[in-house]
Amino acid sequence: MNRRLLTFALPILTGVLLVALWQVVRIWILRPDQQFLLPAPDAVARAFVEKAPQLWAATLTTATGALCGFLLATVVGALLALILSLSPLVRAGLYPWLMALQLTPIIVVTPILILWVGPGLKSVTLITFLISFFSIVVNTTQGLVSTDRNLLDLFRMGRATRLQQIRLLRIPAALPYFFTGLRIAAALAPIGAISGDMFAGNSGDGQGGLGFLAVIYSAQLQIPALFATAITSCLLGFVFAGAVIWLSWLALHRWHDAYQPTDS
Amino acid sequence: MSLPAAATVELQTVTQNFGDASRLPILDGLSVRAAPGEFISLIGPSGCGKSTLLRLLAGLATPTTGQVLINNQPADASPAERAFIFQDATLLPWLTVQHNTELLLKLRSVPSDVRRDRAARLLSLARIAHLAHRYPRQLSGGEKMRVSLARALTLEPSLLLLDEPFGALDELTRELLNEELLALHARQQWTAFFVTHSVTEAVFLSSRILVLSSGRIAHDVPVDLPFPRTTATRELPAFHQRVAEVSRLLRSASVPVARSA
Repeated sequence: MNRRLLTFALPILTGVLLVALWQVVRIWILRPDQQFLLPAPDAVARAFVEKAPQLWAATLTTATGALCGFLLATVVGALLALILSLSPLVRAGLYPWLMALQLTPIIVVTPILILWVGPGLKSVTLITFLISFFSIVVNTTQGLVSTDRNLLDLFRMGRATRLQQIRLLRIPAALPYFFTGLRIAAALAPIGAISGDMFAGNSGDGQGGLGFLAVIYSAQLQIPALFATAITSCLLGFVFAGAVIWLSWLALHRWHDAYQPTDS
Repeated sequence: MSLPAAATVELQTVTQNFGDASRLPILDGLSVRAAPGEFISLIGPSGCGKSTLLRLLAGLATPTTGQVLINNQPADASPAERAFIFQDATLLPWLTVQHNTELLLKLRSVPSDVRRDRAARLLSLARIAHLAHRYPRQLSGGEKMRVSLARALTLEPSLLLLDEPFGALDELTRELLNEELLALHARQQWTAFFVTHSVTEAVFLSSRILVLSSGRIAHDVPVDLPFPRTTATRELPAFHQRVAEVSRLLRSASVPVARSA
């Protein structure tokens, strides 16, 4: 019980210490003419309040792009993994190209996408998709092809059809791998969306996202607002990661060893 | 439930080669006949062909030469229901005990209410009805094996193939499960082929023990201890005598293999 309280209180304590350190650096280390580079915590807090409407609207825009891209990556990634798992030849044929797609820096691909689909939600969604689908494909494929041999034997002796084998054995056995991929994708999706709307965020048809806001605030040297934008982006990342961790807990905690309640 | 009659099993000069024919065959002109309801244990040194024999009976492989007949039909075409029990309990970790027990029936597209009832009945026969809603990770090794056994029996097999099912269990659990396996056998009367490394286990369970060596039957030993066998059976001098005899036969059968290895 005490331990639980401690695991809850410790991060807060660390946070307080970090804010204190922030002030110390600002007041005692930076020269007065440098201090604008690191705004005071209370200045950032004020920026939060002042810019709340813009930040909220930008967060919604970014979250929409991130969510669309993430969902697209989940569906396409899982289906692609299923296809890849069917045969080593399919894997041999497609893997290098998936790898190539992953290794091409997204920053370079972005202008191409904007040319093709125009700025706005569509290109932000595509950028998010591109950045986050790879981890889902790779992990899920790994899970689908590494099914326990003994269980495969059991299915063979039970005269299971190929479809039964996939549906009742390979897919559930791959779930923990799928969720590992999903967790990585969830961490990447907001990053993809934010970097996406740095370039393609202002479509002219509405509000720009957090990336777009960051570009504006930095051009205007509104540094406390820039910090507020960074913190908001971080919180958005937490929401995404948290949602996926919760989903994977829902799917796995009853049977998977990773969620085994500890006896101590 | 009306149980199907136990299977008759016949192997006629079965030879099984793997890869090139220059290597020694895994099974070498092996012939044996099992009457319905017989409980036959297969013992022998590693590599003597015990597991290959089970795979042939399961219809998972066809012999290079010779014939494997179940109820006078080739094993790979026989409709006789066979169930296989592995050393590992092979439970699906994401399914409850109840759903694991229903699995083989589900693969046969048996309607869900029939599945549920039959699984529940076998879980209580295996004395684990109270665990129906647990997940495999919450079970002990012995409990998992009981689920595996219950699952196999849902198929109402006429032939049960067991590949060292209790090898990983502690001695007491193994003895207990031996007794319960015999009790189930007495009730359901399938024909059984049981691979084991334990002579004691083989003597306790079997009506007949085949000592295999280099792909042949080195000794065919009837075990004439009376059924039903219980804990008391293990105390009988006749029991210990059989164990000693079979151990001696096993040692003599193991020598040539060790020399050629």
